[in-house]
Amino acid sequence: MNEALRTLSKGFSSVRIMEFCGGHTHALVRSGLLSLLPKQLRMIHGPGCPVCVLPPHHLQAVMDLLGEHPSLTAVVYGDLMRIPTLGGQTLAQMPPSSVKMIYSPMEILKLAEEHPERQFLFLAIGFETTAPATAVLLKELRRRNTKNVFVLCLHVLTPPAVQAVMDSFCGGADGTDLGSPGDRPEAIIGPGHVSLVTGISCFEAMAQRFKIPIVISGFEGSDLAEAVAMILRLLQQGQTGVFNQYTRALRPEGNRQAQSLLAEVMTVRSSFVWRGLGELPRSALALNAEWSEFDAEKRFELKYRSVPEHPLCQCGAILRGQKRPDDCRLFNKACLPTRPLGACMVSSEGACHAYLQRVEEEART
Amino acid sequence: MKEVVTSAHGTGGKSSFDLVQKIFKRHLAGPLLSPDDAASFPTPLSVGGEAATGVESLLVTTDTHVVDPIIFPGGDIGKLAITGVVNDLLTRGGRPQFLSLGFVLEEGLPLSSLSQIVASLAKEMNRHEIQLLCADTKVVTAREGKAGLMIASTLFGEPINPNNPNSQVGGCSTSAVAMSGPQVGDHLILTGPLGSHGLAVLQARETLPFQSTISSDCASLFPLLAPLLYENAKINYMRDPTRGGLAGILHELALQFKISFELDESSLPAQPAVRAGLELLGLDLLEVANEGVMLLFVPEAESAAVVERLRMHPLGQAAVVVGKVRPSRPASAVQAPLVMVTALGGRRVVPWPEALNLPRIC
Repeated sequence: MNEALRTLSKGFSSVRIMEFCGGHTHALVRSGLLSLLPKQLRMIHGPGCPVCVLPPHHLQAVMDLLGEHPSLTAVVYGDLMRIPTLGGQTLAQMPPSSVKMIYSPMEILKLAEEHPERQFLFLAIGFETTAPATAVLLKELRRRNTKNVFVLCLHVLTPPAVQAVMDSFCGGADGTDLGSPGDRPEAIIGPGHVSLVTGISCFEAMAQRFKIPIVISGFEGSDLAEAVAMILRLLQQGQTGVFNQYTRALRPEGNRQAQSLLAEVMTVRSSFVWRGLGELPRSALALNAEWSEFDAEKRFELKYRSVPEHPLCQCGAILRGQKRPDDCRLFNKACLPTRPLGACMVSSEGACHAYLQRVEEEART
Repeated sequence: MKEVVTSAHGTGGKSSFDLVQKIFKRHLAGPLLSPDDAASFPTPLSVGGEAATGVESLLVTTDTHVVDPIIFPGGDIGKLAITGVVNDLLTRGGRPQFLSLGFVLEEGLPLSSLSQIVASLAKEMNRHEIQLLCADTKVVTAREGKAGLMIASTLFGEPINPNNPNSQVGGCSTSAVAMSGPQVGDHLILTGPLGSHGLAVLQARETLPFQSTISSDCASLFPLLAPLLYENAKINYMRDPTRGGLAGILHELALQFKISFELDESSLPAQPAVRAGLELLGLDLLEVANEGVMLLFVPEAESAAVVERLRMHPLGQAAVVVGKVRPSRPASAVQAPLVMVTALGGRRVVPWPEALNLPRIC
């Protein structure tokens, strides 16, 4: 495979490939593939890390709410426990009765049954991958007539984020650290797990607009090696469009059942603020009016206040693919997994967390 | 922010190491304090002119066990309280002989559970012909939602003497097993598959999104390794990768001996169900605790023979070379004392395990 990649990349002086998913960034490093890629291939790490793109003011609002409602328990996926908010406070420091960590939303049903005297607020985060599980939870809550669980729906959508990253390579007109169009990725490794739900056609418009190949890939190192090889061949042939490397699992139409579940339960928000990417139109999901009895935004008064990030934290530029974790002065020095200053170090899908496993000797490209 | 003890300090990762360095060693370090899991100390050769012990030195180790739940597939806290110290003593070539125990019981603990655990402890103790010398019991208020117990065990024993395999008191001990410490070029041999203890305990404790029949590897390794020590097999060093897993122990050793390591991903032994379960939970095979695996450091020339010898015993059937000791690389050693050659043939750093959200498992 290494040999094949080397041969394929011979005709290129440089190729910029963005892998959208944090899971892919992680697999690139863990599998050692990043250390094997020919020098002229430059991987740009995308924003596909749900915990990383969630602005901390949502967590702050939930923590404030927990302070006001002693009988309320926040139910979260593990990575959210350690995201720093105001004063470095994290959910992990809250009393155990206020916060429960879960692996699957279905665990909430048991919690709610065992503690009828408490109310539970589920922070439903993630891309299209985890949204169907939230939808299933809601249907089950209604079926069981459960009254003490509320869902704060913060699910986000992949295509607007991919587009925002591509658009952000616009030459830095506003004087910030934006990359130039010449730095824009020439190909994208598309999200395997997201596509299992959405199908692949939702990426077609983007491939045509930016005239690039998008190859949807699985999450093994060998999948990614194959995806990179496919991209090099497609670039050689000048082909654009969406292609499927993840054929063992991915049907082009996605999971129709999950799609209809989402349509039944959720609606697209008119806009949503992302960390790093800013406010993006039609980029996130909320519960629709039919399900408002479970909607935490309707049930509670969530008060949002701004949560300034560490002044040196580069999470924003890293999420836009314009900086690498080791471009950040805090990386692996002041910002460590035990004392994370930015979300990209907290999450197991974050690029900074992945880079802790990158072999140092690899020369910068 | 006021610094307090957190569960991260108990994971066996970098936080645990730092806590020991910054607080315990600062106040308690002394000339005899051992950096290893067991310590050697001099004994008076004679009392009243007569040989009392006949050995110049004894080995001692101590461990506190706080596993939650107290009974898990493949073992319980009682069995663990013995196998844990037996294995630790074994890392210095010690034969288990004399024991001291401390029990901290939580209010509400069913007496039937306590009885089951003490019986299990006794069974393991008797299997090794260990003699209990003293013990103590205390009762404390239960932690939220718990009614468990904690066990502190301290085990003494003499060093195994290859020249005197049948002796119960060791005889002349001048040629007792002497381990030189890890040497550059040594092969790293694991005696069994990784990860089953951590996953079995996690599964017994948490509501996991899958079911399996994984059971802990919790076992005394004395029957597996004592024969090799008596046969004077060339073993430069031994450690059991318990809390903090293989990655945790190798990072500690890299600092202690100023060496680095290279692991070979494709040779790391693990049961497929354990591998799959850990992957699903996002946990790293190298960071999860083991209670029945030993890591041996053996010169390259001898490693094939040692692996073959280990595989003759049921506990050692999966024994395999998983890596080697490399010299310390001054520039990058702090960053990357542990590098893995991946199945794809690439390289990656294996970081020091940090704040694992794992329950207390040993």
